[in-house]
Amino acid sequence: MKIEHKIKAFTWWWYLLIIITISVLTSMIVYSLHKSIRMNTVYAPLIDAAMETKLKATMAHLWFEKNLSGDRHEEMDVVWKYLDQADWYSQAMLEGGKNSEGTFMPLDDAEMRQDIFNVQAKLSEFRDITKQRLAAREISDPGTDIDQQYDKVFMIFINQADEVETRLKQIMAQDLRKFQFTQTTLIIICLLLSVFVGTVFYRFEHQRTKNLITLHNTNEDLEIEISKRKCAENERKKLINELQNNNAELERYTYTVSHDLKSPLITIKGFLGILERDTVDGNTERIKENVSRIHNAADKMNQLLDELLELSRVGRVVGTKEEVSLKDLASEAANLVEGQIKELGVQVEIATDSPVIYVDRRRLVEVLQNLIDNAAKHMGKQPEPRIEIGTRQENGEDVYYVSDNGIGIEPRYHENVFGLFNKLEHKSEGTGIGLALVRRIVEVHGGRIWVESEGKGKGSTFCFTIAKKGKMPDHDKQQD
Amino acid sequence: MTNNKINGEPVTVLLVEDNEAHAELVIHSFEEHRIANKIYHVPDGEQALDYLFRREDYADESKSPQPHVILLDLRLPRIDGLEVLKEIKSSKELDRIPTVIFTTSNAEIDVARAYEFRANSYLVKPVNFEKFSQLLNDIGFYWLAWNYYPWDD
Repeated sequence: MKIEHKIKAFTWWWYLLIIITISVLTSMIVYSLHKSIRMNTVYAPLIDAAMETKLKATMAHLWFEKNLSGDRHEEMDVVWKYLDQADWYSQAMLEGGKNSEGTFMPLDDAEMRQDIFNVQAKLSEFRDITKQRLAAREISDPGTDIDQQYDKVFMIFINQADEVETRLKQIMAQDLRKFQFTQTTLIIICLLLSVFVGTVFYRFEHQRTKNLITLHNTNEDLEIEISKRKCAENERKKLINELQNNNAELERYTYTVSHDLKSPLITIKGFLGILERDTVDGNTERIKENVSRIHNAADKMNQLLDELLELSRVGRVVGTKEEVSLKDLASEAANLVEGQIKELGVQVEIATDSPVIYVDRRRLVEVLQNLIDNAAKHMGKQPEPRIEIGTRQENGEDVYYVSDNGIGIEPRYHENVFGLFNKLEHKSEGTGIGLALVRRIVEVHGGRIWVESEGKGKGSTFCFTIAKKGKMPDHDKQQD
Repeated sequence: MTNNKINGEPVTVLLVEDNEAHAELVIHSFEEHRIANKIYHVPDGEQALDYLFRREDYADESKSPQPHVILLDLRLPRIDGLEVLKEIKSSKELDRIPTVIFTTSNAEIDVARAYEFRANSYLVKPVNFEKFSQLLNDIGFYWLAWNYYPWDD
């Protein structure tokens, strides 16, 4: 409810104000309308009537004088007619009337009515004196008493009629002034009102625009916030995933290590036991052999632990990188295992055109050494064992390979071989940590490693990639 | 009474073990306890199956008699011990042969999976040599002396 109060544009008293203003305006309009109507329908005709009264009487006067001097009898009717008309007009002013000139509304004002009565009386007096003058024509020439009286009556009448007319005009002028005043006031009010309404609208519009902009901005901010949160959430999920993966790997390591350490331990304890018994029994045949077995088992445990440490270190520390060609790395690696290779009669071919990669030299030599060594040891009964090291293009990236024509690896073990302590051949030396280490090194350099082999007797090709200089994929991408 | 065991013939054991030293320990122990038996040792799963199905190098029946008991290690190169177990237990000829898992691992998952694939028994190699020796002795007596076998040779 509170927010509604804040947002509402017009509170109740605004509406009250509007209602009041409208009422005032309406009444003013009605008033001026009334006034103008009155002016038109009442006063104007009345003024007209007053004037006509005077006019008709004046005409009568004129005709009479004319007749008198001109000696025309028949046109006396005109005089009476004019007088009648004057009567009619003055009567119309009192009672209302209608003729070809228009409609006359009766006058209400008591004082004015009295004046008109007076005018009528005077008119009647004038009529009488006209009759008298007519009757006494002979003696009513201009200048005579009766003529003077005649004129005097006429003058008084005219004055009175004038007064009435003037009064009427005054009233009308008053009305007109009131009307004008009202109109002007109305116009001013309308102007003010429109300015006011304009201002209100402007403010309203301005506020609305402001509000919309604020809303829009808030929305944008919210959206940004939401996408930030989503990002953070995704980050979190990725981290959790990574953590889970790490935990799983740790578990696997722990499991593997504990069992692979247990095994030599069984050998050691076992043969110690045998030695004890043999010593007691005086059985010396197999002492040398058994002691040797014990030593080997202990050595194996040592080796295992060393390699485990190495594996963990490789994951954390990458030495200084340098640009070096694959060819050089391969040559160096091949040299390190030269002895075994010669012994097994294996041919090693290194491709001449090789790209330059940006790597920790020592580690990559280890990788190649391991791969070459593995290949050499898994030749089986191959009469012409051969190892090839080179580069090929795949989907726009460089893929480096070490391939052999040895016993191959069945597809179902392709993933297995990279597992910790996994060996393919029970006879092969080493603890099998080799490929796990190799994979770790490759991954730390931002690459991937995999094996291609159709299976038994079909040889194998170990392939790997290395991230280009400056293009180490970040953690997120690696997780995908 | 009718000896419905092996009629005095030596009991044949197939030992599937990749660790040469361990295999030596087992064989030594059996000899020590003079348990009448013949032990055949194969160093990995593939050769174990070759032996059992009389394939390749083991085609000669006289050289590879069907064992009365199989001692099977789980951690084998190439073909995993569980795979071998599966193969044995899904073969009409071989599924009767008691297959005893004999391994270093005591992890629940390994035990569970071994039973899932119908291992007849699961034994963990003790580190203590006395116990190791005792265990093999017991194995010997149990499977080779106590246990009855269904076929009449």
